[in-house]
Amino acid sequence: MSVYRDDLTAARERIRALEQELQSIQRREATTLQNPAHDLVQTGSSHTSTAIALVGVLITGFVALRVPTIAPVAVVAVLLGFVVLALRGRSIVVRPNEVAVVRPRGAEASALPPVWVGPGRVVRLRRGADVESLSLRAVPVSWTAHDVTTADGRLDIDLFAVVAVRRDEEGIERAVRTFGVEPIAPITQAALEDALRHCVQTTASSDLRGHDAGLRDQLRRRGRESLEEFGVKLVSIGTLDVRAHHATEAEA
Amino acid sequence: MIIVIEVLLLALAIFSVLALLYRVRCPPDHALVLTDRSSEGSLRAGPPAYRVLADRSVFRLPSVGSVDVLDLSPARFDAFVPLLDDRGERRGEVHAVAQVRVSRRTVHLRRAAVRVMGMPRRDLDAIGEGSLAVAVRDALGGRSAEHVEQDREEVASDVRAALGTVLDELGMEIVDVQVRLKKRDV
Repeated sequence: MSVYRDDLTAARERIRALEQELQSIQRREATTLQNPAHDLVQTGSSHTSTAIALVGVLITGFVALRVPTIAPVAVVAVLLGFVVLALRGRSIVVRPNEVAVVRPRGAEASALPPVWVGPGRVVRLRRGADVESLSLRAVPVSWTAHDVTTADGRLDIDLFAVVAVRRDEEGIERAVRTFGVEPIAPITQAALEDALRHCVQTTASSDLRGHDAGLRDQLRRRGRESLEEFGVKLVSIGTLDVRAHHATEAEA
Repeated sequence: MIIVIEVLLLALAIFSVLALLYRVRCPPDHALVLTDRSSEGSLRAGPPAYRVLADRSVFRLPSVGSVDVLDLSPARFDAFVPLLDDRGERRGEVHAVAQVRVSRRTVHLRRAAVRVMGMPRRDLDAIGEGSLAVAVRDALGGRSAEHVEQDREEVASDVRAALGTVLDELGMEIVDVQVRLKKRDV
């Protein structure tokens, strides 16, 4: 009998250690998660320049062959064309699912403020400018709210939410002011957890375990309201698991 | 006569160059997202200038800034949700399977171009599985194991409605939802 009890204790300790390891990995991932800025903003394609150059060479060659006297003029015109194309600088394509910030570099950096470019735009870039972006894609957030106080006890609640920056101009502006080019997940997660703690403080633990519909609606409404200030839309939120609070070593 | 042939050959050469450079093929089960060039780039410059085309190849005109692709093939998500009794004891498990995809309706394609395009597979899986699990948990609210077994179609319908609301925001639609109950004998 004691053998089984020892095995059970060892298994529980192992599970606890694995849970702590998983939490530390999740924390590390949350802090290091960055927007893949360079994957989003696309530098303007060189196709247009290539096509113009090729067509120019073809037409010039044809004209020069037919009228030899203008050949030197045509050659100079083509060379000039190449020089203009080379000096024209690059442009960036801001896809529909992002907003980009263009920051001047070097001496201009202190004089000129960064410029935010809206989604679905193409803008010309000054030489040497830096570009980063804030993604408008939907982001999944899942985490455990520890030690949540209810009317009759303390619980650990696993939550899941889908959030995304609002698509309207006002929402995008608010998000840009709040997050800049940082990930939106950590702040939205904190806001949603705050909403959850407020909603459940007068609720019995049994109601949470029994999937109380009124509480769900309250949590969704409150979560939406608090994220509204950041320019973030709450697509979905819900609890995945509700269990009795397990004190961590630090608490003990 | 020679000049006419030369002009025709030149026109053919120019057309071939343009066709080679500007023809964009749309892979099967994909949509093209074309971001147009615009002179105004500020945040308050009106709605984004982009077009979406499903299953169609296009010529990339100089007015188009970039071309991206959006995957329209179905994705499958699984969710396992414990079924608890009134005392919080585990009485079984509900296994839900959902097949979803980006809808081909223009309004949904435009939405998906913002919310889903270029999303890492890990994020898409997390959204699909998490949203399905929340939808199942909501649908099970107040139902006992016996009721879930009896009203399986009704539970699946509730899951479909709850999941559909989330997916609609992302420009996606449900292809199929299946709900299975694994009861634990006590």
